[in-house]
Amino acid sequence: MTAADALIAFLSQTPGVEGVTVIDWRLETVQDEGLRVGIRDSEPGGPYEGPASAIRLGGSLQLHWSDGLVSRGSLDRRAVEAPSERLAAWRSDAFHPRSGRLPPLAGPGGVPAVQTCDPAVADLFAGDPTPLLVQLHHILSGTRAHGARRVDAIVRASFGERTVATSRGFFCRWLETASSVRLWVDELGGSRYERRKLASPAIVDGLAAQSAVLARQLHAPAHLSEMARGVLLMPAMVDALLGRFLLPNLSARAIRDGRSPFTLDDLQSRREILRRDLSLVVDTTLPYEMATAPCSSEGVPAGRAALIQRGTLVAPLADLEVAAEMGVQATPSPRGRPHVLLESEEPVLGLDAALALLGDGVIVRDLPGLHTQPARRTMYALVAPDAQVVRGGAAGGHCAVRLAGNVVQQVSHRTTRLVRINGEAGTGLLVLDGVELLPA
Amino acid sequence: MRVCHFDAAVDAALTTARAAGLRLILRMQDTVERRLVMVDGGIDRDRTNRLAGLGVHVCTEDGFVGFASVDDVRPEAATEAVRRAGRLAIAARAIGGGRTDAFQQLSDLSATPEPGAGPMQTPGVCRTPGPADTASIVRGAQDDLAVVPAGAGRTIRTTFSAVDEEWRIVRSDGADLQFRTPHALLRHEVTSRLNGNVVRAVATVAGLEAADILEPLPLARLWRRTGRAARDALAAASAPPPAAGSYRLVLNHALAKGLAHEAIGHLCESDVDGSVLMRHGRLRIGEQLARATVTVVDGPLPGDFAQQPVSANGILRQPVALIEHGVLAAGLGDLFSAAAAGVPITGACRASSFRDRPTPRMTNIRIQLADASTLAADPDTLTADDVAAALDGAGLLDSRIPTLYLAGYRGGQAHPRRGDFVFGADAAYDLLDGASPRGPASFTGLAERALEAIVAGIGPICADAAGMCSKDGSAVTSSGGSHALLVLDPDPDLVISAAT
Repeated sequence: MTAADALIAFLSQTPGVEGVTVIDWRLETVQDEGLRVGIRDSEPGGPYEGPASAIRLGGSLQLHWSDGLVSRGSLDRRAVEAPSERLAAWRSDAFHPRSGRLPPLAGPGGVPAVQTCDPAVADLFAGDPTPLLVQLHHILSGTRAHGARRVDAIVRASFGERTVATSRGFFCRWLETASSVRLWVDELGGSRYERRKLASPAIVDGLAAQSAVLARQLHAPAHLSEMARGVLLMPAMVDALLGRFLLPNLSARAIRDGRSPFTLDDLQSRREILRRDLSLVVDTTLPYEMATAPCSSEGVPAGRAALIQRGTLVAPLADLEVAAEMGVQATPSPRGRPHVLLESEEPVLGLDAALALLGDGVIVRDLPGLHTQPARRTMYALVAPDAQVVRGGAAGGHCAVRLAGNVVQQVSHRTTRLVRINGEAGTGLLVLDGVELLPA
Repeated sequence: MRVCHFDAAVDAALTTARAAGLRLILRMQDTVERRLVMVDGGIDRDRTNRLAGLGVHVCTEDGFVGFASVDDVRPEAATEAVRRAGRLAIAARAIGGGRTDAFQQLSDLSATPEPGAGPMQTPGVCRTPGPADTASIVRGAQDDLAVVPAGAGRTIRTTFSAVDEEWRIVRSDGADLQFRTPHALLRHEVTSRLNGNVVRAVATVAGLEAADILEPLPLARLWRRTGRAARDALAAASAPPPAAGSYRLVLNHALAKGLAHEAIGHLCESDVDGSVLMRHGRLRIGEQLARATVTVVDGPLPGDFAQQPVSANGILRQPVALIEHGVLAAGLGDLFSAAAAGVPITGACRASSFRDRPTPRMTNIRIQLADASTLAADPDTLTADDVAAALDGAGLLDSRIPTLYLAGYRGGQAHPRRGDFVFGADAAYDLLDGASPRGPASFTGLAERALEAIVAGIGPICADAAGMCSKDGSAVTSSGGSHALLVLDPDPDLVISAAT
């Protein structure tokens, strides 16, 4: 019997304290092990980046009491292994739900088959973690072969088991893995891989080459053309912008509480938010993506749900409780990237076509300080210190640029195009209008 | 203290390390966090999270390092963690990883208290009102905001957090230190609508323990700060954005803390090899970086949100004058990087949890001006007119110099090796245009130019601007500030921008 099973058995006995009993419950447990190794200034290991291992047993818990109160909390190892010791503490945290009703719980039902576990990652934890350390060699050799002077990198892997269960009969248990590589060459060119599938030597070699080549390009200072007409935002940048300015504002709780620029009326009237060919989708079924899991921590099955469909607001991001309050469907909840997908019914450009269309402008991969910008206004004004200049459709050296504007307007402008980048689940965005672009 | 009862795990870790020929730093943490979120008088979240665990940092005799953590403080878990860390250190040797001789210095560190000196209790006992009392006090604080102007359709979301955190740092040289790092925070977020725009105002009080911030005086302070933030947010909501460019800038103490933290503190951390305040990997100690009236200090203050008396390597944390009379005087040095950076170890390293490898971090960082002028107004209720009057009184309101007052700190980010920083402000006021409001603004610039540009401080030192620092993904408490107002002269490399 696993620790999670023992906890389920305990809760199923309707435990009580102070004259009240637990009549319903929901839990999620995770038991996993992680490995991390790093390179700092071209040297693997060392006191800050030495190989590290982490073991964890935890999760979250929701208890419904016989007097109508609810308790919510995180689970630590002790709580999972000896829940009777924590019952009184959980009861002391009980409160009346704002809705006046106990939150709904997922009942029995199937979940879709999704790919969350790569045996190659799991094998790292069965014995020798050396293959992970060997990735460091690939990074160092691959970047040096392309002239890198300095390399910094973080390589991680994890393997674990997750369980979601409710007193109403929902039960789901699955194995999950994660593999990530983040690397920077000469503090200029960076690349990133983060999926549930092990980064193969070929992938690592590719990341190393990509970063080194980009760093070589960015070493050369360049000037923003006076004819610069726009910016190509790479997928990670688009994910960050949407994650900052759209997703929080599409949260059902934020809409309900008036903290979003969107209102309940906007939902009910299916207000047009984006250009009509655009949709904003969450998808937790993508094979081996970090977003993917068979269900959410509440037991909402994996799936694909449109928040914005053909430009109109159709659904908020909603957990079971607020979904019931608002009379909307609970939505799948991405566990990681891609947090949201921007899709278009118009043809999506490839990278070369996007650069050709851009002509003169910049490529932006990072906007430091995005978290300082007011999310509820969907507007930003920041400096991209390492933007890549594009002239005549050819990517060149670096320059610092100021970027500003309204994200929703930039996404929706009739000239904005989605850009497919090889190997990326998300899309880039070519913004030709509505963006203030100046040398910094 | 709870960590006093971890002796068996300590013994197991030390025994296993000794048998394997490993030097060891063992970090044990036991945390109880209470978090209450209330929205318009109704409880949205109320939970108590508990976590205890240990992290083992080992080093072979020839200097290879491995690390392991587990959320289990039983002796067998400690034994296994040391073994895992040891295997990883050996694997690091196999790949020719970096080495350190830092572990060999441990017993030589005079800053370390005598082994077995006993627990270092942060003053006071962790006092937290009961759950019902806390909810009642928070609800009352929300009710008191009814008179604060905030626009239509107001929602008040209040977050209360109280963390009872204990650490035990044990080393193979015999050091065994136990200390507490409690911290508590109460934050109001008031959201409303004005002309179709969402208006958001945030205010915070923070301190050591829950009882410190749920008392009438701090609650009154929070009420005043919320009123000020709401007034600024409403003014900014329908105001034009500030024109992009360079200004004489007036920062309130929260923004000044952001400047100190992002543009100065991070650049002085000894592990940031290649910081612009370094040359050939060593801090440029002795160089004049600011006016002679400027001092920047980092170090724990009594009752402070970010207080940490002992480093994550078991070394007493010292207050450090980073900038003294305008001269770069010191760095935040930890065991592993201080020597390379050319600075002494100051006990600067921190870890947010037993799972993290510690790095040099700030605690409370503050900018002090030797010739600061006085301020007649209450810093917690400052209006733009008060600021204009204060500047005028100090001879700093010059019709030839565009002057902008920034209010409402939205967080920041720095790149110590590039030397640039950015932070956000909720509102701005053009002090040459009758203190008329402007919309939210971004303040970007070069750190060294910001240091040079500090020209004046006005009012008392306000050093309680609290937040979290997420360096390398590890979130630790941070706080600080400056005088109630800090004035920077215009500089082409210090720029205000805003979306138009």
